[in-house]
Amino acid sequence: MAAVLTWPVGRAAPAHSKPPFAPVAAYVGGCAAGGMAVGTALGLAAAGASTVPGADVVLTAVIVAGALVTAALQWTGRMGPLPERRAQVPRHWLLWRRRSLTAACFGLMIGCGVLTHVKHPSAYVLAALILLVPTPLAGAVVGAAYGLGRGSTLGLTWLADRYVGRRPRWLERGFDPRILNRFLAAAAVLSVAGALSLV
Amino acid sequence: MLTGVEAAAIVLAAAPLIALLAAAQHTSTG
Repeated sequence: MAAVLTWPVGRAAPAHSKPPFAPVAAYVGGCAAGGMAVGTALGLAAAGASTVPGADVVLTAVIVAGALVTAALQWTGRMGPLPERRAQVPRHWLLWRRRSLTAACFGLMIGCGVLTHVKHPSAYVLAALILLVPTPLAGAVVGAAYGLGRGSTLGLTWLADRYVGRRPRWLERGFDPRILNRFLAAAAVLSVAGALSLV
Repeated sequence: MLTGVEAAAIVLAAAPLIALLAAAQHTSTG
């Protein structure tokens, strides 16, 4: 699917042309907006739930327990019982005349996180982190950061194509999944501990 | 109400996870 995500600046472009910036900017902006929307929604839901008397202690315990189980799933590399929408961005959107519009809509879907494949359980830990700090602002900030993170890989691809001439190896080949799972699980536990220290 | 510093601290706490997820999700779907 990387070929689709890098399509606005990728190998499909004529060799003599420089990759255009506008679709990349639209994609990254869309990713940030999508992440912010989902994060804000989670923050609003959590803020509403926390107004119920006595609910915050129970909710915190449930969220932390769920996050730790999810981190354990991440360690083993299985999505397990966690839900996932098994879909990619709609391929036919590539036929739209305006590439920046396609890129923005791709970004919105990717940035939302929940509308496409979730390959790593620790994405749910990020949602748990928003629920732990139950304000819409925290959700918006964390969600936007997630979206920017997702969008930044295309930005890196664009920068590499435009100024270096070759892409970083990890962008092309990826990481060893066993090592990646360990790092993701550790980062998930650390982030929950960090959020708990703020509650 | 969350202050700007607290919001920044939350993002800092989540930053390694966000960065790893961004890189992993990109490459795993490639």
